Amino acid sequence: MSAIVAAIEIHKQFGGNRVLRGVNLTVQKREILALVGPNGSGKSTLFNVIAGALCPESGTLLLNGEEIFIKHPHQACALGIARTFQVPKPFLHLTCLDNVRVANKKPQTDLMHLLELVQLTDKAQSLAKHLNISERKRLDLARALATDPQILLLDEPMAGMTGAESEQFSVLLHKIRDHFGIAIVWIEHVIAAVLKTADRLSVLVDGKMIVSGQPHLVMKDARVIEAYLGV
Amino acid sequence: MAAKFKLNFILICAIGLFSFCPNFVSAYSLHVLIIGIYYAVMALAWNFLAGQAGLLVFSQAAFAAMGAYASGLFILHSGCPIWSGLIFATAVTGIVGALLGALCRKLNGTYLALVTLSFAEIVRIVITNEDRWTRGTFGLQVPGLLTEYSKVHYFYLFLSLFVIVLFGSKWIGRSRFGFKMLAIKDDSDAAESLGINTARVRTIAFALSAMASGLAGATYAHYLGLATPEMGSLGEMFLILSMTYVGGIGTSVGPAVGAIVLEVAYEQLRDFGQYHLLVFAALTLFVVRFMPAGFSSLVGVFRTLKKDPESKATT
Repeated sequence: MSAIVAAIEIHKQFGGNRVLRGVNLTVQKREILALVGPNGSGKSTLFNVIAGALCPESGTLLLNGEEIFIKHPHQACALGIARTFQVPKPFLHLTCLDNVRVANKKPQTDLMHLLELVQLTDKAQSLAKHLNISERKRLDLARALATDPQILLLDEPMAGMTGAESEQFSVLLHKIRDHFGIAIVWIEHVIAAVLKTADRLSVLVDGKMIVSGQPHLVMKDARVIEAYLGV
Repeated sequence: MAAKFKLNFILICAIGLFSFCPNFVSAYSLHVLIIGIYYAVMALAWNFLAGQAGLLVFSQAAFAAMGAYASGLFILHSGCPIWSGLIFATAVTGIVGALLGALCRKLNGTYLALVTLSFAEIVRIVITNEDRWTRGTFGLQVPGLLTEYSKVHYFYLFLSLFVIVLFGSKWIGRSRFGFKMLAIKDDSDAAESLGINTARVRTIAFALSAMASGLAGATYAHYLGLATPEMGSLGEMFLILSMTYVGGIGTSVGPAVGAIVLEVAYEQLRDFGQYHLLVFAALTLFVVRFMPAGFSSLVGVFRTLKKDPESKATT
């Protein structure tokens, strides 16, 4: 397996608040990597750095082994790094189909197929503002897939979903990985879903990646237990 | 799809009927209609930015004044034919519009409004004070666009300009670029994350809107034979703003309808002097409060009366 994205020694601070303190993250091809950590540990900041929304103080980003310099989020998208947001951001006054269409990069993409994948076929012609939270998250996902990514960054996709919905979402993640052959990095607080779905688990605490590996083993790691429970 | 064709068909019929106006109305009414069409073009240009891309700017009237003076000064000093002045004015306002758009690429809401407002005032003050070139508040006398003065010909000239801007903005609005503008209006961060270069889209939108205004302003000045700093005043800007809101901001035809209705109303209210502003302000407030989609929502009412509510969701 070869690394598709590698972040090396990423430092990012907001004023005096050092949010990322030398984070290393490697994402392999076709892997579902879950990123967990307590609130404020820097998960979303790391996403924003990889997706070009924030510029790190220092550190290197590699895409397929080559160093990349991203100044604007749209450049990250052009390179094949797609992301969704913690709070879904659909274009509320466009229909679901147009939401996907505006993001679409390759003209031959079957947009209805993307909507079918996220089970929004029957909502294709309704405006995104009529969707509920779970549907909005799935629309964001379909839209990100329309940009023909190599790697997909999902920021807490299961927050606000019911148990049954997150079950379905887990299945969907596998389907996407198998169908598009892309890597998925996935921030999540629903640990049960992570253990079941992810290939690998990385734990970020206080701006440092403390452990990374097989999900069940990682959750038994003493450092992880300390970070979460404080014992 | 069928609804769009129907709308275009109705539009073309309406413009066709409208083009017979010169045969029936007096010279004075024709003058009012010509000015109405000028405002319709301005309202469409402003709607392009404010309605489609969600950029509330206050520089539209300033671009019209800039176009008027650019064309007038170019012709007076170069001696070139008058139509070349129109091209020059369009180019100048397009470039300045792009620069202003690039400057404002990260500004939204109040900040964008303030920067464009200041820009508009700077343009007006420079025009007023550089009287060596512009003759200040006297206004700059510019030659007529047509060799033989004929209101009917000017009417058709303005109507063609209107048709170009109307169908141009409709076409761009439905193109990929138009969808990008709508996406930026709804959520700039999401648009950026999906690979849309928001700074570039905004700059191009600014330039296109400024070009339409500059061309309209130049044509207007050549029609009146006079370019005045008042063309770029905030009063004009707010008039354009009311017209767009009354007609229906964000719709493709509403602003034009609003412009012609308000211009005709303006002439009727002329006897009341400055009080017409009071009436316009009240009307605008009423429309914004009770029918945010403007006159265009009336069309929507008729449509829902005819069709069942189910089909409304799909339009």
